[in-house]
Amino acid sequence: MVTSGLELRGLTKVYPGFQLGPLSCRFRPGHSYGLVGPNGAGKTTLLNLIALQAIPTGGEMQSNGARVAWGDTGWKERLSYVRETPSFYGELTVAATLRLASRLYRTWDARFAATLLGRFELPPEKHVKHLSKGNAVKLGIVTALAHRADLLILDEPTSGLDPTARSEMHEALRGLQREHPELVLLFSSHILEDLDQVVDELFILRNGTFVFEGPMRELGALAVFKAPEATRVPASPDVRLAWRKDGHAWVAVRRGSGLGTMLLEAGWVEDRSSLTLATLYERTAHTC
Amino acid sequence: MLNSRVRALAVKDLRLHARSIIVTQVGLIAFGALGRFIRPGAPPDDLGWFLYYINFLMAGFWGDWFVSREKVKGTAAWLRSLPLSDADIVASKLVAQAVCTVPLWVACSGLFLWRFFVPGRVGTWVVLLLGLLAFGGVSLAARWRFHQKAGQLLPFGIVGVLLVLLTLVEHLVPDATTWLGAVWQSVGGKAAVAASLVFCYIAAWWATLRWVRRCDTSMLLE
Repeated sequence: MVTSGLELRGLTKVYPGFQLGPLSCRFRPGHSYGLVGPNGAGKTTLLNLIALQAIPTGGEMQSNGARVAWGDTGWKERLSYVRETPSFYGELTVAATLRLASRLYRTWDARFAATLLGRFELPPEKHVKHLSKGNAVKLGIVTALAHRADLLILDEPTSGLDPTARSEMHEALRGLQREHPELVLLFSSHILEDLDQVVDELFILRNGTFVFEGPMRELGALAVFKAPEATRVPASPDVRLAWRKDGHAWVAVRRGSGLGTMLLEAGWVEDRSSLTLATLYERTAHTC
Repeated sequence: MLNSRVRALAVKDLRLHARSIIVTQVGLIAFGALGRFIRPGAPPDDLGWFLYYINFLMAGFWGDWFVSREKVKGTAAWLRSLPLSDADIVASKLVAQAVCTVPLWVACSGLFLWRFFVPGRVGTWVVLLLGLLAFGGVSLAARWRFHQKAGQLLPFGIVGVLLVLLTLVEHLVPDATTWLGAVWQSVGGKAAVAASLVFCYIAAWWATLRWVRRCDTSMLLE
């Protein structure tokens, strides 16, 4: 069990022309985390590092007080990674794919796999290459969950799904969180409704670094101010997010912190629209 | 090394390629039978070398197929996300490749060439089998390491270079053919060649594992 969740300590990955991190944070058991950011911000790279799909350039991950080493099969046994486009063997049927997975996971729960198969209405005898995108993603989730993973990583699993399929996915994930209260869920998505429905903590990644991390509910407690772009952004822990876009400097600050009044006195203007995930994303996206 | 996960992966590979494997194996055996039917009195060497060349090519092709599929269709990413060690993944390909190569050579030599090998040339038969396995191993290693064309051509390039070197030695060194023939016929000659081929096979395995272990999964995809 990932009883202590997962902790990142200065995790870094360097590619030519791009650096992710160093990132430090903690993913606690029983919580679901959303990861948002513009294309190229490093979301998939981060998930690849956590899922041991990419070798970190620096830093480390710890779980249960122990370092997670590259190639650690014990760690892979405890996590599940569902990519945007799951790559299964098209020539195998759904049932054959699950049989193969059952031989590779020590903790495979065949009964739970059958339950999930029924819940997602996946036809066992259908060849994987004939599944729709939505059903392929569902198969990915079934294989990911049937071994009772403690950490579920979903990298934009709902892109390309129709609203009904997305809704089913939300319901299935909420059901899993109820059934497996220790589950850590990491969910990367550009579809903000997914995050609204599923996650309770949010990470905004931009240019390889976290620019916001906090509970989703905190968004409602933030006020947004803007000023001409050259204005210096005050250094304060109450400034939860700062960005520059459309010729303005923007800051999101905690309401009632007193900083709002100071900003108004300094010539900042309060943006009257309420801050939701959608407005926050719309404003901060593509501002690198 | 051959744990249940390696077995499951190798069986998966054989199942995915079952049709191609069966067609090529049956086709080659039928081809051998046809050769015997058309030229029943032909010396076994002619048919033997022909069948061996085809076996040799097939050993390389299977090595390529098993890895290409994972790299091109992206299934290597799924394999990498499962609780499998890189050693399991690499070993399963070598096992699947051997499962295709060995029975075909046994069938071809047993059906059409047994008079050539039994009783006096069993050592030659073993060396030829090891040659097939070593070439298959090198093909797998090259395909893991390189992109499609380079990965497919490199093993043949290596064999080509060796043949050119052998030809040069035969032409430039006086009595080289006689000397090489004597070494081959000596007590330890075949054993030395067999040991070299085993070394080559193990080296291909080791080099592949070393490479794969140092790769991000994205480097294993095309």
